[in-house]
Amino acid sequence: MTLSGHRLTIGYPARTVGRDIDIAVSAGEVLALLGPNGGGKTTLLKTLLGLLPPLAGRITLDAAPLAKLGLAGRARRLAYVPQVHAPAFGFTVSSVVLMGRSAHGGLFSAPGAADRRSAATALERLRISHLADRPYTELSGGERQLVLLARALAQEPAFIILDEPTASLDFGNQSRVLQEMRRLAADGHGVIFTSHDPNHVLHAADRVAMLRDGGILRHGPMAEILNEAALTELYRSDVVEIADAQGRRAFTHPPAAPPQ
Amino acid sequence: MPATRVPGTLLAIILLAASMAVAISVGRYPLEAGDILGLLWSRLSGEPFAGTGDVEAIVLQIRGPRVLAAALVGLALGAAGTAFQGLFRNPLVSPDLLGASSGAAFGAMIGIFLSANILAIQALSFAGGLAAVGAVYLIGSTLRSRDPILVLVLTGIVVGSLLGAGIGLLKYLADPYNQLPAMTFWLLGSLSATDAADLPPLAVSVLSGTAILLALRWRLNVMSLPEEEARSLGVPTGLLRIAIIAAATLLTAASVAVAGIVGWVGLVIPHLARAMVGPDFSRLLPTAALLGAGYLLAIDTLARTAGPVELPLGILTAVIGAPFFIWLLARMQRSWS
Repeated sequence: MTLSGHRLTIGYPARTVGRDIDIAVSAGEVLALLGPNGGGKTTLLKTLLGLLPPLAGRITLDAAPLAKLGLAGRARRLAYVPQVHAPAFGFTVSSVVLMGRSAHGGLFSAPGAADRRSAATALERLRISHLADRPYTELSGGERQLVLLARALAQEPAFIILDEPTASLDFGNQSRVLQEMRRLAADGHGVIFTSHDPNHVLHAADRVAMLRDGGILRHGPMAEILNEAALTELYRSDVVEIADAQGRRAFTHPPAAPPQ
Repeated sequence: MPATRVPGTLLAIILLAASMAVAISVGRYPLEAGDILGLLWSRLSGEPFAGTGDVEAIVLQIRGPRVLAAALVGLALGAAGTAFQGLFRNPLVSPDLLGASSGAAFGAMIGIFLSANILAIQALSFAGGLAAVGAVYLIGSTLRSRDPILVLVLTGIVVGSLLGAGIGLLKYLADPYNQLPAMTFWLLGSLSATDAADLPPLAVSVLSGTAILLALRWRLNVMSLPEEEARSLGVPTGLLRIAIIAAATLLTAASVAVAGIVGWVGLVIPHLARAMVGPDFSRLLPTAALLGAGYLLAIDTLARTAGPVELPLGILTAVIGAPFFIWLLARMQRSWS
């Protein structure tokens, strides 16, 4: 299964954010949308989810147009993991994950045994079953991100689409979430995530689309296009690649000039 | 934790039953439990009632209708307040946020100003509540915005304030000897004029509005998430918003039409219910409805028995509700769970 956007113009009726965007992600791979803040990453994400209609171009799931699926049909195929936030009410973790089952029943239906099993499986899958009865509002940022990921899994989608999944997390939780995204892809999900940190892309992505000023600068396999020159152009600021004898790589800033 | 939740709902049922038992017995003419049970038994079994005609008249025509009306009004305000707090993602919201109460009050003031009879006043009040919220919703959806909830709330404030001015004008123009006291009394809220004829329309509105909200109680959880997140979960937020607002407005307008302005119940009861069963609307909504019924019935019983003259209901709910709410605020500083 492949989710693709063809010659998309994205944005709001009064404000075009980006144009001429071609993008695709298939089952089993992780696509990273990388770029500076304000470059159109989140707008593109919402357009691909069907939350924001494209101003031009079309989005297809295999050959079928995404818009034809309807709200619930889309929610059974595409799951959205928003940036971690604090909801108004302290729902328990199991209530939050159960909300992921909304699109699997009618408007008036109550969740059944199958829905509860699916929610429990999602919690186990992310090894957070012990949090089930805790209020979501009392969890740490990293735990909340995993709960939202579990809710996405409960939707039983083909694609999981994450907005800045590592943005508000500490170093350890960033690495855990990046690993979970790899595992999701290994299980056959298609994964899209936005990030402004090239190191997270280096760790988790198979392919990368570099977004700047509402256009795609480069798009291709991560190993081929993620390098010093491309990142320096993307961020309009010098980026330095470092590597060690074992072939481990990382991107960093150029050394600061010594004080005079 | 789930083990403590079933008793929360059970507790609300017990409180309601206890309020009903006390409310039907106490009053200017106290009744014995045996008389009431005997009357109920005779009605159920069809056998003749052995007690006096006074007991029958008090239970069936005076106190009974009032007890049921108080429970229905409390049920309506508890359910509507809970639904609105979820829909507007804010625990400080009460069911008159979109102008249901001010619209209903304005309708009733017009009725009193025109010296209409009590049924016409109630009908005008009910229509006023529905019309006010309908106008708020129409204006709010015409003003396109990326935050439809915020626009609705602001429109509600504007329309509510305009209706407040209208109420002020009608009071200013009213006959100060007959109409003005009637208006003032109505705005304070009371069930003293309730009789058996009020029950059928009240019951139909309250039970159908509550049934709609109960059917949507699982979706209310999702509706309390940010708009885009709720839609990404496959929930048609626009459609559900209309359904929830319509049901909650039906509940609020029906209760204001019968009881006048009874504040604080729709704000305080959902919090109390949340403390008992947690924030999940699937359990919260039925508990808040039952708790609201028991609470308003208890307050109304107090209103008609505490003093030599009957106290206005709205004043009692405010005097009890305000300090209680401050206590809740102090207790729940960490989260609204």
